[in-house]
Amino acid sequence: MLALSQTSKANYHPKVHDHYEKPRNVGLMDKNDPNVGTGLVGAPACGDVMRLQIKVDDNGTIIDAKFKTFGCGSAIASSSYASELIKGLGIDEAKNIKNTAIAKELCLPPVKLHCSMLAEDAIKSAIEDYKRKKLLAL
Amino acid sequence: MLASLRINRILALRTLPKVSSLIKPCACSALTYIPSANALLSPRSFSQYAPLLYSTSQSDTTSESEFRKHSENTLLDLMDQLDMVFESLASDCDVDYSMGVLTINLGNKGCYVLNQQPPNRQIWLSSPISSPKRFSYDSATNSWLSTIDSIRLTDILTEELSSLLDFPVSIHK
Repeated sequence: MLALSQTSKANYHPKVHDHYEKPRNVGLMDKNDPNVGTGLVGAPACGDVMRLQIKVDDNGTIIDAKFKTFGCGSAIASSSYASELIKGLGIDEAKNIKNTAIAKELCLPPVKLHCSMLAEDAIKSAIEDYKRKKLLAL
Repeated sequence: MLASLRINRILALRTLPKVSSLIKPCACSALTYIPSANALLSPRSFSQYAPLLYSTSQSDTTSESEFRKHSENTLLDLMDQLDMVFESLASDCDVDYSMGVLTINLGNKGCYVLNQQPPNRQIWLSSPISSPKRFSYDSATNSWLSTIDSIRLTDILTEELSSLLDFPVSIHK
C-alpha cells in the first residue's frame, strides 16, 4: 500500500511549481519593433506552444524577454526559466543555451525533457527572427 | 521450459496495469493541467500562426488508429529485443510498456522514455545522454527517422545503449 502511494506520487520538482505558479516575464512585445525578435515553436495539436520574445540593444545584448506558453506545467516552467536565463546575455551566448541546462535546473523527469527542448528551440527561433529583421533593415 | 517462462514474462509485462504517475507525456498532461496561470495561452490565439509551426501535415494520411497500432507494434518489438538483451546481461536494467509509453530503465545509468505522439504521428524519444528527439515513420525505408537529422531510431538506440552498457547491443527493425 505504501509502495503504491509512493509510485503514484511522482510530483514535479518544487522549482517547476514555483515557475508554474509565479511565471516570470509573461507578456507580449511589439513584434514589429526592429529590436524585438519573436520565436514561436511547438504544435497546437500536441498541446504545447511557446512564444518567446527578446528585445536586443545595439550591442547585441538581450535586455528584455517576454513569453507566453500554452502547455503543461513543465513547458511553462521551462519557458519561464529560459526567459530569466537569457536576460543580459549576448545573442550569441543565448544561442548556445542547451536544453540540458534548463532540464537540470528544473530537475525535469525523462518524459518531460521535450519541454526543455522546446524552450531551447524558442530561444533559437527568437534570435533567428531578430537577425532576419536586422538583415532586412540593412 | 525456459523459453515458455520468458514468453510468460513478456505477456505479463504487456498486460500488467501500471499505476499512473502524475507526470505524463505532454499530450496527456496538457489536458490534465488546469490553466490557472496568466502564462497560459489559448490554443485558438495561435491559429493565425499555424503555417509557422512545425508541420504535421506530412504524415496526416495515416489514420490515428493505424498510427497507434503501428507505433505500438514498434515499441513492443523494441521491448522484446531489449528484454532479451537485458536478460542475457543479467543486469538491473528493465523495460516496461504501458499506455503508449516505453520506459527503458538502466538503473544508475539513467532512463529512456519513448512515447507515441498521435497528433503528429510521431514517436518521441527522451535519452539520458543526448537531446530529446522526434521520429516520423518513413515508409520508403520502413523505419522511424529523426525529424532533426534523419537518423534511424534503432541506430540511435543501438549506439547509445552499447556505449552506456559497455556491451555491443544491436537493436534492429
